Amino acid sequence: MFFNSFISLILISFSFSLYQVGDQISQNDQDRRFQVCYGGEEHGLEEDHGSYTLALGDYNGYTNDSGIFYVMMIDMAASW
Amino acid sequence: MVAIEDWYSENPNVVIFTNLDDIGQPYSCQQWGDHHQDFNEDIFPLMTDDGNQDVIWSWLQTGGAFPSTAYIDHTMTVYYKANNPSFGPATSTIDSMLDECGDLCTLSPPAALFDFAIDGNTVTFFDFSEFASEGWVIESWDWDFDDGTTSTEQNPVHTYDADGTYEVSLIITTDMGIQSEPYIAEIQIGTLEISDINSPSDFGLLKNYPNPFNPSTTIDYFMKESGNIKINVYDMNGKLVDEVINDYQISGQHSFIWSPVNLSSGMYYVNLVQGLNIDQMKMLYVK
Repeated sequence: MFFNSFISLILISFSFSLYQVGDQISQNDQDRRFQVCYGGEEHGLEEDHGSYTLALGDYNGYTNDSGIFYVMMIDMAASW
Repeated sequence: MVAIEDWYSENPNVVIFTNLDDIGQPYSCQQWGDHHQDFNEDIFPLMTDDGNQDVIWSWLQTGGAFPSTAYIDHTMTVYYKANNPSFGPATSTIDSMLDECGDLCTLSPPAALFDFAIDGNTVTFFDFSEFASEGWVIESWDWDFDDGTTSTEQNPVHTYDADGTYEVSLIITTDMGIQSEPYIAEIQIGTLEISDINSPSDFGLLKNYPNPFNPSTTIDYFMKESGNIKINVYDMNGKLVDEVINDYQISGQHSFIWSPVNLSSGMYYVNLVQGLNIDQMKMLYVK
């Protein structure tokens, strides 16, 4: 039991904090698309094959279609 | 109480995501729909890393605790990461981020725009793209005259060999390499066919006049049948800026004068909707 918990703790610790303050999101991670379950239309996301997706690169003026840059605030609270 | 997303609702260059639904989750939407209301030990590990879609959650985690807040500036640099900031610090931080990016974060997309004058088979084109692309430096113009010829001049003069209707398009490119959407205008060379002229039996908007305009412009439109119509004006970002008409009107030709109030110069879209019939037109407001 202790051993299993120890392994889990190590795995979770490695998964935390890929980016610290001052780090720049890599191009690979900017390109990674996330499925948006709800609220996509409200945020002006485009529908693609029946679902909404989002990538951080959509808000990068160098890579999006508009050339406009954005600042983002992601404020997340779990509901459980 | 004003929420932070309401505070910045008028600023299209601030993106605020306030719940998991907005940015997707590292597990499927089906799993999310089934389990998001209740803590579930079987699902919780997926929130931190499923070996695939782990990125956003991983860097949002501040020691594995919720709630978590992160800011990303216009260079895609993680600017701030902490737990649950209050409204005041959050607004001042976002304001400072907007100050840093300046025009880069406030520009509307570049847009092409032109007018033309027809003399026989020769058409002189006048580029107005700089009015529609305020803040951008236009580096090149790509014209397509719809007769197999093109031009890269800013204000070209073109002579058509044959009568007919041509859809001329212009695309501009900025010094940052950003291309506009094509601006397309239909040009009639030679005698107009009766069927080409809008009549009261048609539905749609006619070109506003004057255009570009300041302080007001006149817009004519036709309705084939009597009924309820809506006419709205939208900005370049698709945001509704004026609900002009929402009323019952009889069939035939109508017109209205539109005067922007507290709006910045730039391109605007007029939408005419009656049932399933929709027509749209661009117009340029200059100060």
